Amino acid sequence: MTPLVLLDLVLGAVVLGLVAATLWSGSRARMTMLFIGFGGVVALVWMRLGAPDVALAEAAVGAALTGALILRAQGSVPAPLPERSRPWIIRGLVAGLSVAVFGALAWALISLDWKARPGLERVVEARLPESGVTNPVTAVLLNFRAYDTLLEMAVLLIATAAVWCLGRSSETPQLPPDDPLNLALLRPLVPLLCIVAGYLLWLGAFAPGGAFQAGAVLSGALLLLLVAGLPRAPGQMDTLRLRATIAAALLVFLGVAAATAMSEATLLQYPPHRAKDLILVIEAALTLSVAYTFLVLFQGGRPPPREVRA
Amino acid sequence: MNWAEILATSLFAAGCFFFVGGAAGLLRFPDVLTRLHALTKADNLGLGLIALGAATLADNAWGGLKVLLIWLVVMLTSATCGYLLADQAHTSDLEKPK
Repeated sequence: MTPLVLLDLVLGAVVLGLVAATLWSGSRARMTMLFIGFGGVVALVWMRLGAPDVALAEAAVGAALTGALILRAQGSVPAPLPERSRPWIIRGLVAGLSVAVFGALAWALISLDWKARPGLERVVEARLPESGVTNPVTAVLLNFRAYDTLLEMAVLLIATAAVWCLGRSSETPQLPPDDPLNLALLRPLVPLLCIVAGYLLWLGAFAPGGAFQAGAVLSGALLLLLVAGLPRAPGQMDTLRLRATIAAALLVFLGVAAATAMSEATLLQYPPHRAKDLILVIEAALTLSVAYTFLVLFQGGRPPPREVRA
Repeated sequence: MNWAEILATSLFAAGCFFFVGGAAGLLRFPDVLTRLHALTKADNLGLGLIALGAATLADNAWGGLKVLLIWLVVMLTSATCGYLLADQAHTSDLEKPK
């Protein structure tokens, strides 16, 4: 048995163990922490499967941001119902659905003919030079199947609108303001996170990275500012600028779609010599929108409108 | 195995030793403050050694510097997080051994 197989077996066992520990831990705080740890280990599993793009997304969005959202939601959800009072029909339904999905996926994996893969890999490779980027994942997400990403942005926007319809955001839990050590951390860290976000955005063209990972990192910086209780932290007020930033990705995407539909006669078919610029513009808008969308989702409701200054 | 790989492997092993020490401290120490001490100290040192090992294996100097930058940022954040948690535990009276 080679050491790498051993590593894979250990990783698989740790994932299953973390799932079991999360489900049976009983305390919500512990469940959340275990879930975040689970995301980290799953990111490692994706690395071992040779999918660094997915690993980055899992670590940034699946573990870090989802963990932050769950932590935030804990405060606004009433204390858990006693174990017995949850209706068994719902528990049975949840269990049945989970088992059904797991069974379907397992069946699909077992019945898959691993030698005769669907030939999309080669098609992507053949058309890669026309896409404007050299990272095949970005080429698929932002060029070949760009309408998928466009619709994803629409889903994110609708989700944000739905959260805003639920009501006002409750008070964001904040660290003691003016804490000297926390501020000393934020001063170098927030600019560094902004640089990392820009780096990931640029990197996406030729290496694992891209708009979603960059947006997640940027929203991490924004969340740090918000939680630090800084008076001018972004996202605290429902301003036109905030709304425009959240909608920017979809608007830019739709603009490009309309322009290409008129000039190229096909929706989102970029002219090859412009493809790189168009992808970069869309990805920059995506990064901003993803970052601010997570910031707004973290608040769990619509922030108060701008105060009228006397 | 060349010299760089031997050096890196011994650095990795030393780093893992400190991680195991930190985990043991987290599980065995009696209260919040000592556990935080074990975690932050051991993890910084362990991660530093592993980052050094990875930097010796890096293809070029930039790759190695990036790895060391990660270590630097983790040290910054974990030191501050350790302080914030300890502060919270101190004010909310969690520091007593259970």
